[in-house]
Parts: sequence; C-alpha cells; structure tokens
Amino acid sequence: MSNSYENAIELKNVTKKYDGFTLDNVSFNVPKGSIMGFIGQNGAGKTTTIRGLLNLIPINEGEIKLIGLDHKKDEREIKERIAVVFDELPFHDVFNANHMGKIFGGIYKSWDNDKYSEYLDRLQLPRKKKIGKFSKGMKMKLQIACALSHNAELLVMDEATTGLDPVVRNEILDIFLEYLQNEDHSILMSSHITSDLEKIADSVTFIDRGKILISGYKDDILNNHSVIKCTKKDYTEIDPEDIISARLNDFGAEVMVNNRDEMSRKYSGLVFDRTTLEEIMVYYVNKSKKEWR
Amino acid sequence: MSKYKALFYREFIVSKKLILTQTIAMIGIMIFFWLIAMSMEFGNLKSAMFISYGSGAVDYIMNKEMKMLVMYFLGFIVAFGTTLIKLGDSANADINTNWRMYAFTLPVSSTEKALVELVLNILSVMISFVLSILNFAVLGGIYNIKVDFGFVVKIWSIFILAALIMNFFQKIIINRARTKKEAYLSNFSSIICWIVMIVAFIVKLKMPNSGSYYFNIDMDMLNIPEKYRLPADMVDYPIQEPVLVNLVEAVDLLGMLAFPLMILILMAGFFINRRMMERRYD
Repeated sequence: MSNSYENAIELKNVTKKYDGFTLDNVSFNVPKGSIMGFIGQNGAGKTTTIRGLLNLIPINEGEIKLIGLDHKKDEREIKERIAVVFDELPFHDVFNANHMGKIFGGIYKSWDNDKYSEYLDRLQLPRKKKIGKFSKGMKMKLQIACALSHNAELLVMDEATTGLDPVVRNEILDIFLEYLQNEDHSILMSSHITSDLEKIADSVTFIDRGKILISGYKDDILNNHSVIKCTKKDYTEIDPEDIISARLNDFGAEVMVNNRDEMSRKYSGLVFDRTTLEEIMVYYVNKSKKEWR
Repeated sequence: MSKYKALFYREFIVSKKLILTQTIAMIGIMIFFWLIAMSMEFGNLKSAMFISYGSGAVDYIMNKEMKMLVMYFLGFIVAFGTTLIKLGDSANADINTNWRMYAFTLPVSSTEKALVELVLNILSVMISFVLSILNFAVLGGIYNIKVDFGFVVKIWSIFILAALIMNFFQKIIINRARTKKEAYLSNFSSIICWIVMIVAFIVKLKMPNSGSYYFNIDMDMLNIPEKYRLPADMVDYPIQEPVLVNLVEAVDLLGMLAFPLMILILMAGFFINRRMMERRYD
C-alpha cells in the first residue's frame, strides 16, 4: 500500500527534554526523492532527533510524519517501508549473511532476495562467514545491504559512515546515489563527516545543542556563507550584526558571514572565500562567543 | 519464511550453542546417574551404599526409598535444567549489539516477540517432560521399582512449575533491560530466585510436623519380594520419615494444581513480557 506525500520526513516543533539537555522545537522537512545531511558535533542532538522520529524514545511535544504517515499511529506500516542503519552493526556475531537474509526475508513482506544477493556480491561480502569475524567496514556494508533489500522508501542513517576508511565510505556513498536514482527514495543521513555530505546531500540541517541553526539546500547554504579573511583593522570595520562568528589570530581575523552577495557589496574591499560545511559548522558552534581563537 | 518462523529461526541460531550444551549436559548427568544406579544395584557400589536399619525388611524398604529419592532428585535437576535452557540466551548479547533497539525499527510487534518466547518456553517444558519420563523409566527399570505414572507426572509438573516461576521473574527482568547495566544486573536474577527457593525450603524443613503420619507403603508398587514383606499389623513400623511423608502430601496437593498454575504462569508471562518489550528507550 502506498500513499502520496511530498516530504519523506516532517518534523514540526519537536521537543524532547532530558536533565541537562533539551531538543528544542526542532523542525525540518526532508523532501521526497532527496538526501538530507543532518550535521552537528557530538552531543548536539542528532541521535536524539533520529530516535524521536523513529519512536524509539517518546517525545514531549511536536508532530512527526514519516513517508506521509503519523510516526506513532502508523508505526507498523512505516516500519515495513523504511530502513534504518545504525553506526554499529546490531546483529549477533554468530550470524552470517545467509542467516540475515533468511531472517529479514521472513520479517519484511517486500524482501527481495535477488537484490540482497546482488548487494552481497557487489560488496564482496562472504555469505557463510560469521559476522563476528567481519571487519568494521564489512559489518556496515552488510547492514546497508540488508537495509536496501526490501525496497524501502526511506533510509535513515545514524552516523553510518563514522569510523570507516575513505575507500569503503566512497563505495557506500555510490550505493546511496544509486538508491536515489529512484525518485521515490529518500535518505536522512546524520554525520559529523561533512565531506561525505558535501558529496551527496541535496539539503543539510545543522543542529547544535538541541536547536536547529541552519536548514536548507546544501548549495544555497554553501553559496550564502563565506569566510572573510582580513586584517584586524578591517575586522573592526565590519558590523558585528553581520558576523556569525570570527576566529582571531595574531595577524588578523577569519570572519564567517551569511548572505554572501549582500556582504560582498557592502564590504567590497575584502576577500570573500568559499567555505565548506565543516567550516560553517565550526563557526556556528562558536556563534555565542562571537570571537574565538 | 513467515515472520514467526523468522523470529524462531533467529532465536534458535542465537541460542543454538546454549541449547546444545545444556541438553548434552542434562543427558550426561542422567547417564552418569544411571551408571551409578546400575553399580548400586548390580555392581561394586552395591554393598558400599547399603544402609542398615537393623531389620532385613526395613533395610530393603528404606534403601528403596533412598533410591526413589535419588530418582526424583535427578528428575528435578533434569526437569528444572531443561525448562530453563533458553533463559540465559541473549539478553546481554541483544543489548551489547543494540539488537533490542534495532528491533524496534523492524515491522515486528511486541505481541509477536512475546508469542515466540511463549512457544519456546512450552517447547522447553516438553523437552523436560520427555527427558524426565525417560529418566524415571530407566532408573525405575534399574531399581526394579514400579513407579506410579500419575505420581511421576505430579512430581514433574511441580518441578516445572518451580522452574517456570523462576523463568517468569527472570524474563521480566531480562526483557525490561535496555541499558548494558540493566542487562548485567539481569544476570543475577537467577541467583535471587535460587535464594528465594532455598529459603522457602529451609523454612519448610524447620516447620514442626503437624502430627505423626504413617507412610503406607504400597508393597506391590515397590515390588518387594515376599520374604521381606512385613505382616499387615506391622505396616506402621516405628521408623518414620517426616520429610518424605510431608513431601508426598505436598506432591499430591501441588500436583493437582500444577498444570493449571503452569498455564497461568505461561499466560501471565506472555502478557507481562509483551508489556516489557513495548518499553521504549529514554
């Protein structure tokens, strides 16, 4: 059964309170057919948000919809149509790939064993070797093979590429890009490896200390932000309201600004460098300090 | 493969080693005791193990009773052990691998998970039944004791009931565990159950006997040879075994209640486990 929806994920004013940490009014959408990178430093609230939207933890306030369905009322149907990948393989060491194929084949109605076999071959995963003897990269590949073999419409990944070497990460990212060839497929990928997201994400949401700081199309975010490298004197002439945060050193300052086009007209004598998601993240994390070293 | 088959398959693969080792251990214990029994009856241990009460007939009767006690004690170990076979399987492994959390993302309900556990409990009870009956049959043959089948079933059902009660509490603690610390603590749940049972046993032993009972021995049941049978007016012989008498009475009473209680415990376990399995993380 399939329903029509515009956004694969919709979060509206989601709040979750713990002692010492609050996920505070988190709202963002993941459009259908796209991949969203969910970035933030450790402890920012990425995993809490993902657990909330998967109903692994109860939320205090807010609305969540996955593939157009309510995340609590339609939980069973949602689980049939989505796949989740965690940062560590949740399968016992005694299993092998064949076992997992049989187990998931019984659990998911739309399990495709041929597709699973293809992924195992492509990712060069042995079928009869115990998972306990797999390397970290092989474990992640197995988890992804299982996730992609039941025609899931939405793939939710929580730090799935953390700890993997660049070769394996590239291999996995290629598989995700292929997965997205089908415009009914969507991905939410949380990570603090921003270079991966810069390669494949369509949109990015940045969370820090339980609050969403930025959310939008990746290219727009990258184009809108810029780093001005200037002398101390020039730095003093920049309006503090225009500064997100500035890293000071002995020779001058590196200033992160938003709205690059307007700023470049306003401060025409200064040099505006392109920036990266990682830099944006670092500067936004230090936003409250304004100046830092 | 259907969903239930898949879940059973998963549980079986995870617990396979434990099931095999425990079943082999149980069968090994049984065979060991059978060999001891054969030696006591026909071999080198025959004279060494004979306890003399000063009278040929009483000696014969009392030693037979001891052998019956051994039979039932072994039956207890077998029934108890095989019923609890599945217990220590995967709580820690489930939590250490994050399987429990991952399972919440699968289209599997807590009812389905709890039902699989219930069926596995019933299967382990059936295995223990078969092994217990086998044990009684073999030892009964070695000792040349005709064992009353109804009595054996009552004894077995009480052992199983005790194991299921222990299983019930352990499962609640295990299924409730969500963090590594909770999983670690759940390992000690079996110790708590054993302590409760031992305390109950000691309290029972310390309780005064409610009167004198005469253990009316069914001569035919014990298959006592004619020359050792006492005259009818001496059937109330002076040696009494209060523990054995109380035990027989208790077996009679509990045995009647055991089956319905077993079903109650299994159903209660199902509903409570289902509730525990629904518990989310926080």
